[in-house]
Amino acid sequence: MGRYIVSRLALAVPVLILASLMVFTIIRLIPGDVVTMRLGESGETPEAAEMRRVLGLDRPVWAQYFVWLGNVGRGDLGLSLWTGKPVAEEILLALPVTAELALLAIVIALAISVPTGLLSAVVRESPLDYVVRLVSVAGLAIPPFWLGTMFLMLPAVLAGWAPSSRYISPAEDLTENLKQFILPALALGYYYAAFSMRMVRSQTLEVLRQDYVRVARAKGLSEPQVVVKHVLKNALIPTITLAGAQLGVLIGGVVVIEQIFSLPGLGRLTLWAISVRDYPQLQANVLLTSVFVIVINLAVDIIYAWLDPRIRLGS
Amino acid sequence: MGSGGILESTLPRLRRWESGVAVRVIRRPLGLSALAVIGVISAAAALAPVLAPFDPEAIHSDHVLSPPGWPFIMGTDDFGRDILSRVMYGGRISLAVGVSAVVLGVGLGAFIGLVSGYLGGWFDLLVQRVIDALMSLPTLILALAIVAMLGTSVRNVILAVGVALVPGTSRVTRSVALAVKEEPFIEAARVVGCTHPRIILRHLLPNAFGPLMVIATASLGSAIVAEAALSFLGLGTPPPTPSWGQMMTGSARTYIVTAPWMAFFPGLVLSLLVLAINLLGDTLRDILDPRLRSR
Repeated sequence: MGRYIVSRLALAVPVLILASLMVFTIIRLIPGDVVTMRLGESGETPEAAEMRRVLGLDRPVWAQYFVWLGNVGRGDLGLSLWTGKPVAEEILLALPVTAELALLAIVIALAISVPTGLLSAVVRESPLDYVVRLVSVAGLAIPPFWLGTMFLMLPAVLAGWAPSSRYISPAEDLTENLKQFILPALALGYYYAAFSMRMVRSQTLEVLRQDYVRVARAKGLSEPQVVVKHVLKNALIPTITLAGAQLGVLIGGVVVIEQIFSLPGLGRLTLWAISVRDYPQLQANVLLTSVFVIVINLAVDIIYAWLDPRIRLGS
Repeated sequence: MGSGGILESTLPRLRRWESGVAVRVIRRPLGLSALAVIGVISAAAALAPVLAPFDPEAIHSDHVLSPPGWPFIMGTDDFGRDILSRVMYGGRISLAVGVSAVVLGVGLGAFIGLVSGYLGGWFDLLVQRVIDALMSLPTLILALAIVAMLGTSVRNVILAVGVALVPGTSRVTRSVALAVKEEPFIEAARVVGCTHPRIILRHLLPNAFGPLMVIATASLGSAIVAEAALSFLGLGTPPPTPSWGQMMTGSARTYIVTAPWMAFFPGLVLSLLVLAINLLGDTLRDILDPRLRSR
């Protein structure tokens, strides 16, 4: 087990460095820099050249990369080229918003997908199974930004109420905060639920075929007892790890949902950084996302190997 | 079997195989209805210049924001433009971008996956780490960065969405290549002196064709959604060309309470199309991979 973890970690480091290099290069290739954005398209004035020198943008890209990588290694993500504040500060302000949205969405998704997926597998090929499968396939087809837009309209049309366009933190007013988050979380959670519903269903079917389930039935347990005691746990562990691997889907959804509901989270911060060419902010955000995905995948691999010895012992 | 023309001798076989699959898709009620929905929406988009009741950019100033009815079946927008006609024209962009991105992304991904899996060794290790790095960037973030880098145009959106499809495709094709290259018939091909390109094209590719069809179909759905998401965020197809994502944002959100039909219909058609494509993908998977059937 220890050797497996070390070998997975050893593979993750070059991937992380490659990802950071990709992020850095792609972002530098975006035409127009923060100087042209700030000073307007007035051409190459001495003022613009001076600003580039101060910001370090006059140096070759590879030199900028190594300076940045060195700073990141020391925990310094740099200053925003636009506001002059540390980018880490902006991220810390936005992170709780995104974390709350993602967490609520995951809770909603699991609350929908686990019972329905399980039920659907148990009553396989029944009308109920077909309904669950249809809802899940439909969920994958409905883009979260459309569902979000429709959700934005519903309370206004039905109850003459609109969620606050100003962000309210949970510390300020928990009820108002939840009122503000429930619709975006539902729009995002439904999409994610559609993914995990299929996984719960197929994992449950897999478990139902196992010999120990046949034994449980043979020794006279009732079907609900079999499902709760033997199937549920065995089907859920791989499902939750698989759901972790699908978090990238959630991240893409976060960007559009935050935009629709005007929530000042990481997605909005990233879009804003793209529009004003704020390199350090954008790099930090994308790097953070990619670190997050790599860490989650690593955790998923390790949990899997721990659960299934064939993976860590094979090849 | 002639000495040359690897592709020439492979293609007729693939065509026979394809027609067999097509018949089996049509025989299934789900496959047939999925094909019908895709057919109707594609035809409406392709024949938009003939079928659309109005010019998509014509402004009917005395019918601003009129609700669905006659003659504007899906209503009009804040400029008084006919939504139905715009949805039909928008479908051209969505489908064109989706199909081109899939051809580009799945083609490139399949090539990388087959070569990487077949050659193995340090080459495979290196390529897979690059794929890992690409995969650590969520699809939409990667596409956003590429469009921001290249500028918004139809071509660049295709490129961005296509590149975002490469990592997933190459992973699946690589696993097929890894499994198939150990088969005795590959060894036999090597013994009779087949070159590496010949083995990859003639022996590995046909075996990967089933999974590739399934990935291509599934990717088409996500490519269409990705294009709409980019347009929705203002980084997709530039106006005034109507596209579904674009029609759901901007003034559609300003008037979301008074004129919800502006955002509703493009999204509805988009969802229906993606639903049909996903169902077709499921049907194909059931036919081509019996191990996964009725899971």
